[in-house]
Amino acid sequence: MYRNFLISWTGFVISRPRQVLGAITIITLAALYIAVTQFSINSDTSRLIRQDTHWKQVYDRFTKVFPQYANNTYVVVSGKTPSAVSNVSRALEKQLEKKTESFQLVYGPANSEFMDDHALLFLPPDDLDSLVSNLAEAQPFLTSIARDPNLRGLFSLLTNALNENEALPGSMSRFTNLLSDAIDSTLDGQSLPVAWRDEMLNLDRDDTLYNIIFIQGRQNFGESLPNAKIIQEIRSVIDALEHAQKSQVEIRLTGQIPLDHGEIESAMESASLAGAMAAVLLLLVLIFGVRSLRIILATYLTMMIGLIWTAAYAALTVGQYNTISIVFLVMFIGLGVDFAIHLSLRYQEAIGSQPKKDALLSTSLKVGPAISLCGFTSALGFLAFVPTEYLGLAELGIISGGGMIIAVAVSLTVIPAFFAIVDEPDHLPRPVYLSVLSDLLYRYRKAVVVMTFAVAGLVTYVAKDAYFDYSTLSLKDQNSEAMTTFRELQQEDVITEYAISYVAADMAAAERVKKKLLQLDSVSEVMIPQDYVPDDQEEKLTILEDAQIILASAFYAEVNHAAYGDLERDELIQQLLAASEVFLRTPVADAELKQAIERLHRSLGKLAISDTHIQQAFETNVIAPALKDLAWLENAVSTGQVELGDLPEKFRRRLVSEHGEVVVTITPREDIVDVTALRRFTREVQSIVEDATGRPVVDLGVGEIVVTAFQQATAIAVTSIMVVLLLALRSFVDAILVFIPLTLTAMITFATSVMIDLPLNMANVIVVPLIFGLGVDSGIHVVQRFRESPDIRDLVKSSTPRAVFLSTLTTLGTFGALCFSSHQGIYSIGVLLTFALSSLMVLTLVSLPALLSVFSPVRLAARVQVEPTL
Amino acid sequence: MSRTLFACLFLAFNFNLPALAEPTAPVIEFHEGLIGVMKSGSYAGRIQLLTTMVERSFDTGTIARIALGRNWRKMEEGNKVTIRALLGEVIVSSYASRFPAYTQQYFEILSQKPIKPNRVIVRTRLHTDAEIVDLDYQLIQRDGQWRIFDVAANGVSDLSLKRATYSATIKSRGVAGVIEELRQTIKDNRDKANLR
Repeated sequence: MYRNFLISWTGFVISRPRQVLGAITIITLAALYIAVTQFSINSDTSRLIRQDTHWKQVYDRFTKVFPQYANNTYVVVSGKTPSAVSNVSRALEKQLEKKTESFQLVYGPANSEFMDDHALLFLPPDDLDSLVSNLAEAQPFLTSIARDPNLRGLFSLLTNALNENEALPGSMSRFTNLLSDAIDSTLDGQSLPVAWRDEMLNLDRDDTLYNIIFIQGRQNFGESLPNAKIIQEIRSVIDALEHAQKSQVEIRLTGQIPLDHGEIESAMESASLAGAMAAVLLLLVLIFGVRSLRIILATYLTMMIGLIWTAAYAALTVGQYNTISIVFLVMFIGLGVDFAIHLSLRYQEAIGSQPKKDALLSTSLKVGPAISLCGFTSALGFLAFVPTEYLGLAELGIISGGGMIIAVAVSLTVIPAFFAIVDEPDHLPRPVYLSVLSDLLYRYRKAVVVMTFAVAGLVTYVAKDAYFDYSTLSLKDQNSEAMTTFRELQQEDVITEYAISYVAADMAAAERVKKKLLQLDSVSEVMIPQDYVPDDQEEKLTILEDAQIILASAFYAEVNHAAYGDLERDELIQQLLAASEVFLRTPVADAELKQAIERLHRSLGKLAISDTHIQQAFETNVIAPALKDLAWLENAVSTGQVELGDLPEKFRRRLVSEHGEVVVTITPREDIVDVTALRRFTREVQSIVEDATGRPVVDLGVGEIVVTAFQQATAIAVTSIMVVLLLALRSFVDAILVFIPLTLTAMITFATSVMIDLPLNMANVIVVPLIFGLGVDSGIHVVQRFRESPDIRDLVKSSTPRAVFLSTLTTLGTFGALCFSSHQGIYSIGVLLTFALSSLMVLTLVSLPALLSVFSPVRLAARVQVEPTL
Repeated sequence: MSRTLFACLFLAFNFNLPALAEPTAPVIEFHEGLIGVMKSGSYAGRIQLLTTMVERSFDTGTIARIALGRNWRKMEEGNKVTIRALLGEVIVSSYASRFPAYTQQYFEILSQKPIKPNRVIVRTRLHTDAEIVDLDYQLIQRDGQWRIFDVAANGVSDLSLKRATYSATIKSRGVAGVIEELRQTIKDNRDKANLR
């Protein structure tokens, strides 16, 4: 019946090819309009999964009680100069706060007045003790400035110290270097103020410091500001910020919003890059494989029309793309062209012995059923995810399944219509290598079969170690700013993203839960609000009292009011210059000190001959920040006890809700990148507090849905394709034979995933159902051809292997193009499919013919028929 | 009327304080002692005088505690006793080497500034024939007694210097290193004085 339909349809098309092509042009233009105007991509990656699960409800409840944690952007200011990090972050926070129309929350916990006053209480006692020693080193310099708020005290101190030589404090070189820096910076126009506070706080560390500002976009009529707009606003504030120390820090964005936004951007970028590469690769494959301009034109045209129709179909059915389904537009370039290639090559083969019309009809009749069947099985492979709870791949399935059917229909229409009006393509002589190959394959067919089974055993052994990566972050571009910053914060323990959160009814409940949780093997730390109050306060306050004593001479200095002006300043510079010169004339044992004084001497020499206003600027850069930081320090070392109620409101609200509910944060003992550890930690915590949430819970929840969906989809694909094969081939043995390369390819794919350490993830799980859906095509073509002339030497020499080879090559080209994606999900689909299709091609062209010739019942029947005539 | 009553109470209270409870008293006493030291001639004689003076006016316990910071609290009692005694000797020997002879020096008490109920700064000035040195004493009151624990000469605090030095030493060479360094300083002071 289908054959009759094919004959009448092809007859219809070739009788009025111009009208048909005209109609197709009009439909394509309309489709193009729909595809372009309706294009949209879903930015909310959480919508990829069914929403009504328990863990999702718990998460939603959590963000309702503590909305501050949802949809955050972290502005991360970092650097090695503490004052620069703090000053720039404060200035930035002020500017961001002005944008009230865009942001509903702007909060830098470290920038508060509270932190200014109590910063020292948050240092561990050992660091605080080192701080006091450090202040002791700085004491002479700080006191000299406090007594003389100009260069007089400081420079007299240094001059005397150099003159007396023996009484030089150990910290001399450190402070003269600070002054040399200030002179140089003033002279070269940068004019950076001396970072006294950093000198005071120097705790013998070379760490990068991080200061985070949390931002939430404003909600308008329940609609949140689009991610792109939030990020754009923040970036424009950062760019507009003018600050002397801006060059000393790095300002980066991360958090949920930039991560999601980055994923969409990388998916779009990857899709368009891969699309362009695929189109070029396709052309190259066609040029080398077909060498007929007309066929290339026909296949290319068919592919473009099919692509536009599919895009319009996607817009009309699913409505929106997601970060995974967008990939199909690229895949279509390789897949949609296959049917056209099979038709064209068969026509090219047929035109040698028949008139054009007969050739076109016989091509449709011979290849039409096969490509229709192929389109159908490919669609089945894609559609396998539709009944699962994994909406992201279900949507991809609907788009792709429809796309495959569209591709078949377009090919069966455009190819006959096209060749009906253009001249016949050149007839290609059969390449010699094919006959060599066919002889070899015939001679060694049994060896090939044995080899195939040997390889099967080997890869199955390797494949058993394949595993699934549960992290929802693993799809994102790992080199994007949002991801690298995120990982850095995680590694530096600045954020604990892999902690589980739980909302306890009140403080007492939180404390009870904490006790229970701490008994779990998998839990390392449990934080309740009380834990954010500095501990060991009594000891710390004693140490701070030492600091008050050490710097009493600075804090209670009597200011020298003696006359001071430009003349005095100039004289002080000259005196210190002279003292350093004299000092350097005698041998200095301490190499570091010698170097420091030499440097000071050089810089002072330049300062001494500079204009008065330069000397003044230098003085201001040294003295003003010292007075300011001394005032801060005096306040900071005289802090008193701090209790939970003393924490700033904004900070406390992140721990205790309006109604007194409190956050309990649970950190794992093990690295929970490992799935077993992730599951153990999450399940153990949930055994105590069922309504727990956080990334581990969500990752596990999503992961389990994806794994189940993957198993269901694979089962659906395998079963439905097996059924189709049985119905189409009407031979159990042939159906099994076609299945052998497919199963083997699936195993090779798992083995590849193990060997190149590219675990299965939310995106690439589609690969396995696809291997069956796509791979079965070539198998069907080969079996059909084998049945036409059941000698594999004929089979190999026919146009079929060439068409299989070419169409697989075009598909490989497009999937290969996906390997260049920055989006890790798309990238991993590309890599696994490339490996899968390469092995599938070899298996179909080498193993399958050998298997058929050894095992297929058709072969036996054929021999009986053929032998008597020999 | 109430004001008069308050004044009376205040006066009565003030009169009841013992003489040494005045924070300037130990400083004045120490300064007078120093003039005597300068006039006393031999190094050994100066040491003898100063030992009693420092014992009476200086709080070596507070000095040791702040100079060694957190390490002090963790230290064995035996080492604490040794270090405290050696710190006393360091103070004695450095005064003995710095004030070898009397050349009409005199001290002047300028003012006192209470910092906390038990801490005060007493500002003084030393006049020598060559220079004027601001000497700011920090005193602490314990059991009704005011004792010196820091002297800042022209703003450079002696206690800060000790803290900076000994915290570095204890970090690199431990408690034994500190004891060794204290002994070395005492020896250096003696050698310096004997050279003069």
